[in-house]
Amino acid sequence: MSITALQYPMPQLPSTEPIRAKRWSPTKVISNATLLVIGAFFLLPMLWLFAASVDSSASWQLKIPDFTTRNYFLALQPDYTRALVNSLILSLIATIVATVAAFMAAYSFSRQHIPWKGPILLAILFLSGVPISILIVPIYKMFSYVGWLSIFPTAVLLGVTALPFEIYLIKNAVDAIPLDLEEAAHIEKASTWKILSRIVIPLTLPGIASAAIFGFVNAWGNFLIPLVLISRAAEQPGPVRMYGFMNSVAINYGAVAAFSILYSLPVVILYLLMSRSFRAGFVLGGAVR
Amino acid sequence: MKIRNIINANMPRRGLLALALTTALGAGTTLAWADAITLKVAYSADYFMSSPDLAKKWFGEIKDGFEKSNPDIKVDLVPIQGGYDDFLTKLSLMYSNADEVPDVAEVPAPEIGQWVASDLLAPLDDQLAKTDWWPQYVEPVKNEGTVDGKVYGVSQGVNTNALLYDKTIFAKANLPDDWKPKTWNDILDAARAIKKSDPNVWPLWLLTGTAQGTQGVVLGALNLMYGSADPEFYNEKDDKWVVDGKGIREVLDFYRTAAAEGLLAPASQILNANGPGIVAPYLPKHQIGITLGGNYVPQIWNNVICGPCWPEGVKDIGIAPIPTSQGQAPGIATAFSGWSLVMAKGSAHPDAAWKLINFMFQKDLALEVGNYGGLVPPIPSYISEKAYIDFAPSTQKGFADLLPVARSAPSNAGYKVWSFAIAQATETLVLHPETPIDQAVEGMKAYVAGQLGDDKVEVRK
Amino acid sequence: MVELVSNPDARTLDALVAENGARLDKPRFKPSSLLLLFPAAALLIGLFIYPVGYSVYLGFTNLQLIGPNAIHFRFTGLQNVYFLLSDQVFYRSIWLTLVFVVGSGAVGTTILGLVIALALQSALTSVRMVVSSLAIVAWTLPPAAIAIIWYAATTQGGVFPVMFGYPHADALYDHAMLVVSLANTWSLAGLAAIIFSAALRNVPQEMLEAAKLEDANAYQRLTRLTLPILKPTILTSALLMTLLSFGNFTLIYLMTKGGPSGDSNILPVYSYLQGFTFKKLGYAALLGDVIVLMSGALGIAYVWLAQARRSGRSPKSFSV
Repeated sequence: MSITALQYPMPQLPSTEPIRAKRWSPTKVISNATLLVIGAFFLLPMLWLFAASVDSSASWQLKIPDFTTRNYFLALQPDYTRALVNSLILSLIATIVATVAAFMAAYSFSRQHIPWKGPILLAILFLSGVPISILIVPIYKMFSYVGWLSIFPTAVLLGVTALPFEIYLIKNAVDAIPLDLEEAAHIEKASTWKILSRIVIPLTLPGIASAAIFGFVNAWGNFLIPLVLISRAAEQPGPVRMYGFMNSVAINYGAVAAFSILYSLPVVILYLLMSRSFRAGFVLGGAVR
Repeated sequence: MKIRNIINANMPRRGLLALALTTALGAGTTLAWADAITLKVAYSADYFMSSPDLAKKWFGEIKDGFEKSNPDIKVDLVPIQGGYDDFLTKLSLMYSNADEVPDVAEVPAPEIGQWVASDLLAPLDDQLAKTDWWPQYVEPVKNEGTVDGKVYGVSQGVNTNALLYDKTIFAKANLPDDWKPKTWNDILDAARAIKKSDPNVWPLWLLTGTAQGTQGVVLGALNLMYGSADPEFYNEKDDKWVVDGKGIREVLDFYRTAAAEGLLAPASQILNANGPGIVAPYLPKHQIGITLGGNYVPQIWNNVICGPCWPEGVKDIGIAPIPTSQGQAPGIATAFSGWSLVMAKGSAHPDAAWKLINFMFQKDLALEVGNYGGLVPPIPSYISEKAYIDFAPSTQKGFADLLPVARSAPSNAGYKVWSFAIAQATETLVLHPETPIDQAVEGMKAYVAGQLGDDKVEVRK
Repeated sequence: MVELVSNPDARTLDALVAENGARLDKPRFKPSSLLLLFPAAALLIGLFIYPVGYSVYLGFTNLQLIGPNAIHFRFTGLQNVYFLLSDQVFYRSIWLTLVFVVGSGAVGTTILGLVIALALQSALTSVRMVVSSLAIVAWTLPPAAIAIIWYAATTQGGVFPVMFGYPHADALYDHAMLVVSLANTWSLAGLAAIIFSAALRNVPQEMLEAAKLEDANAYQRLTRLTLPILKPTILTSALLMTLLSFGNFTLIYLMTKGGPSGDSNILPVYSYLQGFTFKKLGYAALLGDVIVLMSGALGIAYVWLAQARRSGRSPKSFSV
């Protein structure tokens, strides 16, 4: 499409704004209405969560709460905040390990010639389908043999469980970049590192970001692996710690709700921070010109 | 890459490696010099006791007290988090690893059979014979921890079950204040009267459903099973599980009738995966007429556990033993299961471990853990102790009196399958009361035969 | 006489190779690939392949979690396989698993995520922030919390029965599969929305604006331009959601433990039941092997679908 065909001046920078439609076009109305309905679908079950977290006599029923902040107070006791910190450590290490390794592997799979690339990729895909509950026993035997029953090796393992998905996500993103860009840079004698950092990474940033978020949440919500592999109770992460509010004789629904809300805050914040990188990503077409 | 660069790049790394090795060697040598014996004690941090703080407190007291009187022994507490299944999974894995094996562990008694079969536990008969408290144990509880004639588990206490009835609801339904049902029909009649007098109240609370695991059965259907016309559901001689017989049909029929007449609490409640834990808050609200519940339920309303605090519970809730189906001897029935302490066979310090176990059974500590864990003490003289009675004044004695006739759940591998099958059968009948009993029984037979083999099932007419 | 003037600068092929390295027209394996692949390969082979291989082996043993065969177990050959083939619960479980992972995972979650991502593009800022945050929170809640939330929402007196006018309905136990499928979609749609949001960023705006200038309406822009460009991502997302649904067994396990009467007993739940409740780890491992085969088969199906669509496309398109 030739630029001269356009009647109005194009902005200098590639557009990062969504398409600006008329104020109340049918698209906008339908989109917002749909979102509100979907939002309701997400919100309604969570209503119970919010109500119970401030309810002093919370039960499984949705009801008007007897307001109290005691549940949040309980959820913020040192044992539980330490568990949140443990979760952060676990997830950050897992994410870094997984995303770095995945990016390197994805770039290699995408751009370079690897013998038996297809079968290897398929095998990686199969690996993601293995249920964790089966792997637990051999992994425990392995980790206990080498004395790795603590938080750092567990974090690496959690990263590994996300690795196959992340390779796929990033490879998709890398595949989308036309080779011309890299070839042009290569002709201009740019080093591999420069190609990666100046061209590939910025263009695939949304894909890398979604892979990183996936790796983070995969580690964040994991219950069985930390429970089995981390031997010291003080190093256990949030999902395991939450059982402190549930026992054989009583369940403190209010505290469970409060803790769950606190527990999901870091990821929401993370997402909101990273969603800027989605919007700042280059538009592909502009870069080719 | 040039060779020179590689060597240079690795130089600092090799230095670090050397440093790490030296430190490790040094640390190893230091450890070899230490004289202290360390005992590992594993217990359920979240699930067993009425709150994790109580578990921490009691085991903290054990550690402090024991280390004070035995300065050369260190106690390493290993709390295990998670629910019932998670706790057992982690513990099982720990036993398979020589470095992690706990010398002493607090386990649910029904699991002991399997652990003994894995050759993981040490028999304690010799040591127990020398104590003054073990001979005082009630026979059924002694037998709970006994496998093949040897004692492997020392019980800290058990849960028994009875019928807790709400006197205010009973008054409204013109039922007696000191209710003592003689047959299962009496229970159903009372439930019918309650339903008539107040449709908003749930007449009968009785657990069912596979989501609760074996706990749900031992706190629910198993009690009825032991009170039925034919309570023997495991043929020990032939190693066969009974899947059809008078007893089983009586139990299934009870569930079916209660469900068909709308006498049970809502399915979503009694099938809830956390069924045993959600009933206690309902009684203060006068929501349930008759609860088939464990001894721990009334304890929840005292000032220590407070879930919620309900001092009126003492006069509002009455206790009646579960009758047998037609009133046949012995007239009452209950299932029991408890928690026990076990010692690992592979323990490096069996004498020190035994000392610790003995320490844990001192009267004050034993009474304390019984209360924290919601248990009936296994020693009859303890039952009259103020510390025990005050924990739930109106019901503690009633539950404890059931101990002589109580029967424990079997602890062999097939039990889990049978338990699942009967949970499934009762669940089906509760959700679909129009199902014929024959069909439910067929389902049980198919399931147990499918999982354990056709040669392991028995049909009694 | 005509003399062939030999160009003093001309080189033979061998000389060129000697100077520039091997032939560039044939793809060859570069040493730098080893470096790039090393971290992922080391991690996967060391920490993943060994346990998976060992699990496969365990499927043919009589290992128990606890019991006579916990410490001393032995290879039992095809015994577990014979048991598997006669296990009625297993066959029902396969069907339930397919319904769950394909219906709720692939189809349900992908569609919902796609709709969210598309709608987010033309949303008001406030709506965008709220709805995307809600979807993300739903994704990040621990499984135990999601189980409690959905239990509360679908049993008597819960949000959904009350809303639809049947306050005494037990949606969870009457329609177990439907409820857990909804819960699964609810918990995964946030991720799908993120993936599609990222992919939508790569849809060339100029193409869409040019189409607008040529009087293509929104529906045409959507179906003729956006969706075809997104097709590879749609397939990838469907595949990922399928695999993630396989792994979402904790949710079902906590809500219903596979009941009632095995109505929601998908293979991962059944495998966990066999391994950790009945303690039969050997049989559980064999069920796990079946799960791997199932996910592998589904993976191949998706890849095949992607290849089929790729024939005749421009080289600029994504590749799976």
